[in-house]
Amino acid sequence: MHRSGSQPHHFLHKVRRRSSNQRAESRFAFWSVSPSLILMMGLIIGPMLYAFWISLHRVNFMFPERPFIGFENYVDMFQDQGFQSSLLRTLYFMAVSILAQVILGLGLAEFLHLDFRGRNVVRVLMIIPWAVPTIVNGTLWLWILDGSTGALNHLLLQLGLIERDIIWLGRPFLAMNMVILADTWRMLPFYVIMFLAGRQAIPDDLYEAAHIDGASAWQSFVRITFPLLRPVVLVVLILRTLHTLRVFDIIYVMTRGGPAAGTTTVTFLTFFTTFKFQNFGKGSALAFFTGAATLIMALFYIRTLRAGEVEA
Amino acid sequence: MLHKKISGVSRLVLFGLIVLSLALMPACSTTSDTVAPEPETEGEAAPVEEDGTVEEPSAQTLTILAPVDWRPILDYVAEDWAAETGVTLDIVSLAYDEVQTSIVTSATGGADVDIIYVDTVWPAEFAQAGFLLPVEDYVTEELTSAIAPALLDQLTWDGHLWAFPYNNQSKWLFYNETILAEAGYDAPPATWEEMEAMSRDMMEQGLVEYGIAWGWAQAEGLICDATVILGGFDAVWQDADGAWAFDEAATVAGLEFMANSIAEDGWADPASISLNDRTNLNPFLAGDTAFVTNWAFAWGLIQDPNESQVVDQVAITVIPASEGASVPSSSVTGGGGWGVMANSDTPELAAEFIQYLIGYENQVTALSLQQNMPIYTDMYSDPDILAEYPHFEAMGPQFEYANFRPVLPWYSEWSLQAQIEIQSVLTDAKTAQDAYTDLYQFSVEKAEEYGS
Repeated sequence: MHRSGSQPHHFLHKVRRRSSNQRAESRFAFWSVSPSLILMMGLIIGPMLYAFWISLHRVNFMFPERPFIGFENYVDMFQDQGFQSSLLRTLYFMAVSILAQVILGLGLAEFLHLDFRGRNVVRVLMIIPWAVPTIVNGTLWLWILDGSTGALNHLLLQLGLIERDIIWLGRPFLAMNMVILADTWRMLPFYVIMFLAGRQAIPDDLYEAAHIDGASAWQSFVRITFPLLRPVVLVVLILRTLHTLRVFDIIYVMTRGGPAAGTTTVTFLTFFTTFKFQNFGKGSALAFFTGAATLIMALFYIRTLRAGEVEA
Repeated sequence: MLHKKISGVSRLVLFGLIVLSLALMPACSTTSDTVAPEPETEGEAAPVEEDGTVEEPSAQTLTILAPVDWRPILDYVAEDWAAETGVTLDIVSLAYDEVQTSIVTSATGGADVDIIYVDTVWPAEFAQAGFLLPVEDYVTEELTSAIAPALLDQLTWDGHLWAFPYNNQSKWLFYNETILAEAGYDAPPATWEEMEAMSRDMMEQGLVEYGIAWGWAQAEGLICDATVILGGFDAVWQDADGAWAFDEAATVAGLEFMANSIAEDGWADPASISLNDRTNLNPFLAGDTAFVTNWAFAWGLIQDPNESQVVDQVAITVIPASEGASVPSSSVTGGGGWGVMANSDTPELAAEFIQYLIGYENQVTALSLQQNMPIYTDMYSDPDILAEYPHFEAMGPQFEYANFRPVLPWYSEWSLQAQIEIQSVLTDAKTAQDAYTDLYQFSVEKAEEYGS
């Protein structure tokens, strides 16, 4: 039975009140975050714009004048062999780190998903490396990898796998891979936690059905696990790509960019150029290049992630 | 809610916030121009002394930025200074490797720092960048006559003195007398070739793992050692006029000596390429090597039973040179001094404190608080000091053969390139000849680019 005017009126009143509430809530939220916005603008956006301005000038303490030179710092940067080498090293660090960590992470996540005695203890122990600060991690690996007294050489000698000490940080390519090893040891728990969480959300029914159809463990992984973990993997890739592209701290602790610049990445080069050479113009250009590269990669991943969501 | 389109009013407000935050940004920078008190009455000028100088406002605090190694003496002196003058010393101490970066960021960021430690290789860089005030007008005849000229020379650039000398420093050869005696040697090596022969002999006898562990990681310590060794082959970086002078044959010979010592059939620890001048002490302190070259601080560690297994087994001598060299020894200058920051509000007070800090009595105190090599020549022959620090007698002669590293306002850039080139030789990535050619070319081209 239709009440004359009362139900529609009541409904419209609710709609108006809801919209009014929402608007009030929006306003309140906006003003609540505005102090943080001001801080962000002042401490991040403002200095970024200033740094970009510096990158368009010759700001080098070797010269008293600081003329506007446009994009000359960027052109010099791309033409500099030192930069080209550091870029290649950065890409190598990024690719090898992420590849190794994804593969190991997926494998460990699968293992920790199995039901076995002490699983929870193992899961907890798994997190410990992630809790170690980078400086401590780097120092720890310095001791392990020490060419004279390090534990790794001692172990390998005892096992008869080597005949004499290996200077793990004494050759550029080997040192880079040792830095990747140290980084992997610390960051692997992050991958495991993320992949394990995603893995646990996959219904067991799918695997039972696959098993009935005669699928092997590898086929189950390739046809079920990995496709369903794709969103998680992409999120992890985004975060780790952004991090590895800007790697600095583990290198600073372990090798300071050596030996023979063998572990000097773009960020490390930026540090030297700015704070050691006091070439702030070129240093700012290097920093902006890193920032732009990071942004482009992030956008690429996000787009890929969204495309995956649409497909789903 | 957060995905709703922002209304026109909100957009305007957001824009205003951005403008406001940018306008407020300069207020976040620290400047030192607010320290001076405003005159109490309009038109009142700052008091002028009889000699025409303007009285500086009384500062309650002087801020000093220093390596953590100097903390003990600074704490000690700060207490006396505060009692005498009422001025507090605010000490910012950092690991040595962080000091230069911190100085650059403090100076460019306008931080309130009055005094900084100036390592021997920094005066030209910091002076060129405008970080320091020249201090030659504060140096008295009494001081210049009491110290070796080299201590002032290494802090001088472009005709000005940029820091008060504080510590003398060089590298010495520390050797384990006990191990040498066991091997049948009653004296340290007089040449590099002799050291190699002795080392190989001791390794064969099973007395040591290696003759020596160098500190050749990619760091400034590598340049110090390169200066030591190349000098022993008669190669110096610059001539008296500052022009590049490292001789091709001598430099290549020195670099080859370095590389061969850590080669697979070498006599030095191959791990040297990843050790610095602190960690290269570890094998020596453990008795695994017979020799080590290091700064004066090493003596304190060697004699510390908590750190060393070779206490009272070690002696000091000058670092040798190669057999064909024109000099019997070669080392490198180290040390540094204290500079007055150009943006200090109280430069006179800062200079006054520094002169107090480097005074004779405080230099004597510094001997006990840290292994500081004093700047006063008399101290190296003072019977009381020698009685307490007998190793000074052996250390004194090294200063005569200490070579400078390049004096450049772009020294950091040169040093890094030199480190890379030298390590390329040590890692067999380049021949010594190629490394020399590339480094020399870089040095000349950069000097032309920078006009110095």
